[in-house]
Amino acid sequence: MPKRRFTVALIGNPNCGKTSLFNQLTGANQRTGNMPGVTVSARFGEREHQGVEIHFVDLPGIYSLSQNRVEERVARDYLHETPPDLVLNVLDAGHLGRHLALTSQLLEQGVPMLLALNMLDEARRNGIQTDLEKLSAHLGVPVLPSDGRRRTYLDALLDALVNQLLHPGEPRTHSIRYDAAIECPIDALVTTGLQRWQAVRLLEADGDVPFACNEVQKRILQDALVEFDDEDEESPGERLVHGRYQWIHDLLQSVEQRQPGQAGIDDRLDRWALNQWLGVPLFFAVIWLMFEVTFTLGQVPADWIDAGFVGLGNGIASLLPDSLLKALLVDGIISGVGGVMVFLPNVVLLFLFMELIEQSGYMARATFLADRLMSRVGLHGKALVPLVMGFGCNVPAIMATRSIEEPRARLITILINPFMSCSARLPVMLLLSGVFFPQHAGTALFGIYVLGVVVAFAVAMILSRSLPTYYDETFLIELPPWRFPTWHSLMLHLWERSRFFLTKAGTVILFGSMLIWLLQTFPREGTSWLEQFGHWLTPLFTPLGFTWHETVALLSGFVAKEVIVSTLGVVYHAAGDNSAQLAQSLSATLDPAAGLALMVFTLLYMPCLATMAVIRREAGGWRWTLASTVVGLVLAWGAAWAAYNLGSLWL
Amino acid sequence: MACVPLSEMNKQHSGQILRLRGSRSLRQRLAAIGILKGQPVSLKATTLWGGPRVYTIGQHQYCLRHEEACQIEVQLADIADCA
Repeated sequence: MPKRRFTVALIGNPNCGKTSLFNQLTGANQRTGNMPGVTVSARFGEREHQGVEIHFVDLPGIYSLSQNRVEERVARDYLHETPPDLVLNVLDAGHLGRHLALTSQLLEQGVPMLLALNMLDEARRNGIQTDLEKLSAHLGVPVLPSDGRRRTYLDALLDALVNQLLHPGEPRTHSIRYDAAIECPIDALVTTGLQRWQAVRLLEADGDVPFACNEVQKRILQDALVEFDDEDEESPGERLVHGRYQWIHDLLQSVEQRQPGQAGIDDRLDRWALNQWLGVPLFFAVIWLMFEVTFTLGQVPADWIDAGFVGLGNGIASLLPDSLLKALLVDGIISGVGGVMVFLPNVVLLFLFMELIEQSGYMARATFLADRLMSRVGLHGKALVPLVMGFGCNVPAIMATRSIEEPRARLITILINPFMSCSARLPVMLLLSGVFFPQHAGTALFGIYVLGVVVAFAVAMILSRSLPTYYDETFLIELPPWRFPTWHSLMLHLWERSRFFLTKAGTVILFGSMLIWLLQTFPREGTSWLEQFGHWLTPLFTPLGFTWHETVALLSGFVAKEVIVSTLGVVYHAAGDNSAQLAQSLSATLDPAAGLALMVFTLLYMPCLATMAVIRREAGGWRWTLASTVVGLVLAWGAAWAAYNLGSLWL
Repeated sequence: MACVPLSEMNKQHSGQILRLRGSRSLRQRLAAIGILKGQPVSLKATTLWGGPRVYTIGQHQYCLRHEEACQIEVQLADIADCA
C-alpha cells in the first residue's frame, strides 16, 4: 500500500507571508513546539487532502542556509537530519530578487521542492509581472501562486502538494556557475568526494556545515580562506553570494517584467511612524490607546458576562437548599471563576491590539525607535518584541528571547520580562483601577504598565553593569512593508488566546477557587484557616495598607495571577451579588493609596509558577529563577510602600 | 568627497554601495540579506538621539546602527570619481 502520510516543511525569508500561508493550510489544527535539540520554536500542523495526511512544519524565517544565525542553523540541520518529503518554499512575488537566493541554495542541494509565490496582487500593484510557467521551466520545480490572506489558490496548492508527494519524480540538482576564482576550490573539494552543493556550502559557511569533512577538505577550505583573507578582497562566502545574485538577476531578466507601479502608502505611513520628532510620542499614543480601548470597549461585554454569572449564581442559590455544596458552587466556583471570566473581553481586546501592531509591521518600526534606549540600558533592540509580548504572557515572551544571541542581553531580557504586566495581571489591574480610579481607569492602567517598563529598564541597567558581556550582537533588521493584518490569522490568534484563557479558567482558577473556598470555610466554627494564615502574615503587609484578605489573595497569585481576583471574590463573599459587591467591599476596606499599592505590588512581585519554570529552563538553572523571585519581592514591597505613603499624601 | 561611509549619508544624498568592510562574518551577513556591492542606497529615517537609521537599499528598508553602517562604503551619485 502506498504511503499516505507525508511531511512538508515551509521555508522562506522573513516577512514572505509564510506563517499566514501555514495558517491557511492548517487552520486551527496547529501547535507551537521546539525544534529537536535546540531552543528555537517552530509551528506544526496537520491537514488531510485527497485522503493524504500532510504534516506541516513552519520553519523560522531565514535568509540563507549558510549563515551562523540560530534560526538558519535550525533550518539547515532540520533539512539535513530529518529531511521532509517535500519543501514548500514560500516567496514574496514582489521581492524575488532577494527571496530566490534561498531558493538557489535549496535547488543546489537537490531538495524536493515546490515554490509558492505569495503576494502576487501586491506585486502587480507595484508593476511587477512574473511568468510563473517560465520560472518553473527554468528552475525545474513546480511554481504555484499562493495567498496567505485569502483562500483563492489554496485548493490548487494542496492539489499540487499531494501530486508532488505521491509522484515525486527523480531528485535533481541545479548548478550555478560562480566566478573562476571560487570555482577552483569548489572543483578541488568535489574531487575529494564531496557533492558540489556540499563544496559550495563548506566555502560559504566557513566550514560550519552539518556534514563531516576530512582533513584534506578542511585544508582546501583553509587555503581558500587564506587566499581571500584581505579586507579589500571578497571572501569565498561573499563571492558565492554575488554569484547567486548574478544568477538571480539573469533569471529575472527572462521571467519578470517591471513597470512603474502605483505609489504605495508605505512612505506616507513611514513619514509619521519613523519621524524623528513624532515617532516616539506616536508610539506612546498607540500604546495608551491600546489600554484605553481595552478598558472602555471591553467593559460592555464584560458586563454581559458578569450579568450571566450573577444569573447563574442566583439560579443555583434559589434551586438548592442551604448546604456545603451550594456554598461551594455559589461562593467558591461561580464567585472565583466568574470573577475572572468577566475579564475575557478585555484580554481578547489586548491581544487583538498586540496582534494588529505585530502584523501591520508597526512592531519593527517601534524596534527601530526603541533601539537607542534599549542599548543604553544594556538591551538589544530585538528585546522590544519579547518585552511587548510580555504584556500578553511572560511564558512565550521569555521563549521569544531566543532570537537574541548575545548571552548577557538575552539573560537580562529574560530576567526583566516578569515586570511587564502580563494579561493574567490585567483582570487584577482592571478591577483595582475601576474601583479606586473610576474616572481615570484607562490612564491608571496605562500608568501601571509604564511603571513596569520603567522598573524593567532600571533593573536592566543595573544588570548590564554587573554582568560580563560576550560580544556586541549586530543590530540589523529589515523593515517589513506595511500590511493590513489578515482577518483569518487575527481570528486564529484570538481563538488560541481565548482557548488558553478559558482552559486556565476551567483548570487552575477553578481548582484555586475551590481550594481557597475550602480554606475559607473550614473549620466551621471560629476563625477560618485562611483567615488565620492571613493574619499570621499580615504584619508584613500592614505597612502597605493591606488587610489579611489582600495578603492571602497575593499569595494565591503565585499559582496564576488571575487567581488573585478569584480569591478576592471568595474572601469578600462577592458571589451572591454581582462584581459590584466585590468593588464595594474593596473600596470599603482599602483607601485609594492602598489600592494603588496593591496594583504596584501585583505588578512587580514574584513571577507565576509557569513563568518561573520557563525562566529556569531558558536562563539555565534555579539560581536565576531564585534571583528573579527575590528581587521581584523586594522591589514590589519597596515600590508598594512608596506608593502607599506617597499616595496617602495625594490621593 | 565622492565616497562616504553609509553612516555619513544624509537625506539629500543618494548613491550606490561601493564595497563592504569590517569582519568577514559581518560582510557575509550583509551580503546574505541582500546588502551588496552596486545596490542603490538612500537614507530614509533617523532618530533624534543618534540611534540606528533606516536606509533604503535596493528595494528593501534596513535598520542599521552606526557601527554596521560605517562599514558600508557608498559612492554618492553625481560625483564623478571615487578615491
